[in-house]
Amino acid sequence: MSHDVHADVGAYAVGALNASAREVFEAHLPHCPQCTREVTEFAETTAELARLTETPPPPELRAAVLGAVRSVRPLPPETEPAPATPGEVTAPRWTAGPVDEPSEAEAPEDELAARRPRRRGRLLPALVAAAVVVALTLGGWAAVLRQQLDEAAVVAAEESELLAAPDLRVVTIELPDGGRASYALSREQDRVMLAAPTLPDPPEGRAYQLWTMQLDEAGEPVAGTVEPHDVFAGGRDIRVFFDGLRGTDAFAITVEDETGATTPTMSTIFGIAPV
Amino acid sequence: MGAGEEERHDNVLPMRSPASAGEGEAPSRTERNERLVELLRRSARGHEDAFAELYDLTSARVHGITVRVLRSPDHAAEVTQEVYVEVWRTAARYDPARGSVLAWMCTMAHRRAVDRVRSVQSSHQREHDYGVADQRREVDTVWGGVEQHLEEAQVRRGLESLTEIQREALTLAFFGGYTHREVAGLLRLPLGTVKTRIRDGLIGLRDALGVGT
Repeated sequence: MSHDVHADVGAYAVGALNASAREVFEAHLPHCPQCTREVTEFAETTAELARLTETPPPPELRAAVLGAVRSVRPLPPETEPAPATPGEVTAPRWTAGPVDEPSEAEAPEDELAARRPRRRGRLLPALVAAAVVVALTLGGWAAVLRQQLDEAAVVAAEESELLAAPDLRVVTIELPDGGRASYALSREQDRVMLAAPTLPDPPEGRAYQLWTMQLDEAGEPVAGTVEPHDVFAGGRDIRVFFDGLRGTDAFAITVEDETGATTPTMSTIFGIAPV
Repeated sequence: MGAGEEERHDNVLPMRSPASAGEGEAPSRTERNERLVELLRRSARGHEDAFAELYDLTSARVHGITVRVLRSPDHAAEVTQEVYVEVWRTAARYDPARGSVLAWMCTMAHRRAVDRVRSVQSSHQREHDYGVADQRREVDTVWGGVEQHLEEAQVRRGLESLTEIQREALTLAFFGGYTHREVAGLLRLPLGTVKTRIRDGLIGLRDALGVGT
């Protein structure tokens, strides 16, 4: 798959990639010295090419530009961490410390999860490799996903398998704090991933819980079809995977006791997404 | 100069010194870039006079790109202004290791112009309004311009060394602001072929201009 990304280098250099392909290529770039070198050289090349179209701007633009910058403060130099070496896993740029993975380590296996052999919510560094795979197969969805997943790094084969599913769908939901999250789901693989760049911590002693359900004609949950799923904490770069989509029309998230509930208390319900 | 010279020397892309291209007295690309780096560094520290000089030395190149891609003098002036405000704002973040100042600015200008034209285009269906005749004109206009810039012997020679398809693909993408898919549609070529032609064209031009490593 990386082969195809390399082939985009020329189109990237002349600005001919559309937004999603551009994002994918830019995610690839720090990992590929050869593409980086070509991009640098091609930028020199196109700058020379632009000799052919040199056009002095209207004289009044000079004063306008110089006037405009007077109210703009130049940024200080970037104090960057050492650049990643090719192939190395990079944490999301905005993640200051190590990517925390507390939920699995700290939270004892709650009985709900024990009863259901589903994979618990996990915090993963985000997903460059996956985004690449996804973009190649899905085009537009990749942009949505990448936006939501922010800076990506690497992903286990299972996750990239989901993100590469030919029937992958992404449903975006709004969180109570105005933030956004999305469900990425594949019926073929019978698997769902909830991805949220940030999720505020629930109150002390409580946790988020995912639910699946069937809806009636009016769009109301059908009694007896509301099924409890994973319990997870807030944080950054949240990924919650779960299986078992059969007969499911919608997802929802509630705030429950941290041990999880078997029926939603509906205290706080959000992120209802018909699928 | 002086103290910073050695460091700068390392940062500037090496230039092949062409035997026949030195007709003019113009400073070499390397010398020009050293000056621009200096002006940019001073701009980063808030020196408006340095920024004004930077503007004077580069604005025709930058504005030429935005005009060419946007075709609307008003939009182009707006985007050119945006580019310079961004250059002022991010001057300290320019990294000489990643290319010349002019390349940095031209890339920024081109990207902004293309983003603007595409956001406008989505409502205007530019693809459909823009027929084959216009496409020809696009190519001819740009190549006609070559004659007026005879002093740019290197660029011209580089262009002449490209195949017609490479030249068209490169022109439509860079000057026309078309996506590779649109270029493929306009030239009736498979997408993969267009990507290859664009890259081959850039490689040919790069080698002719001696801006490679």
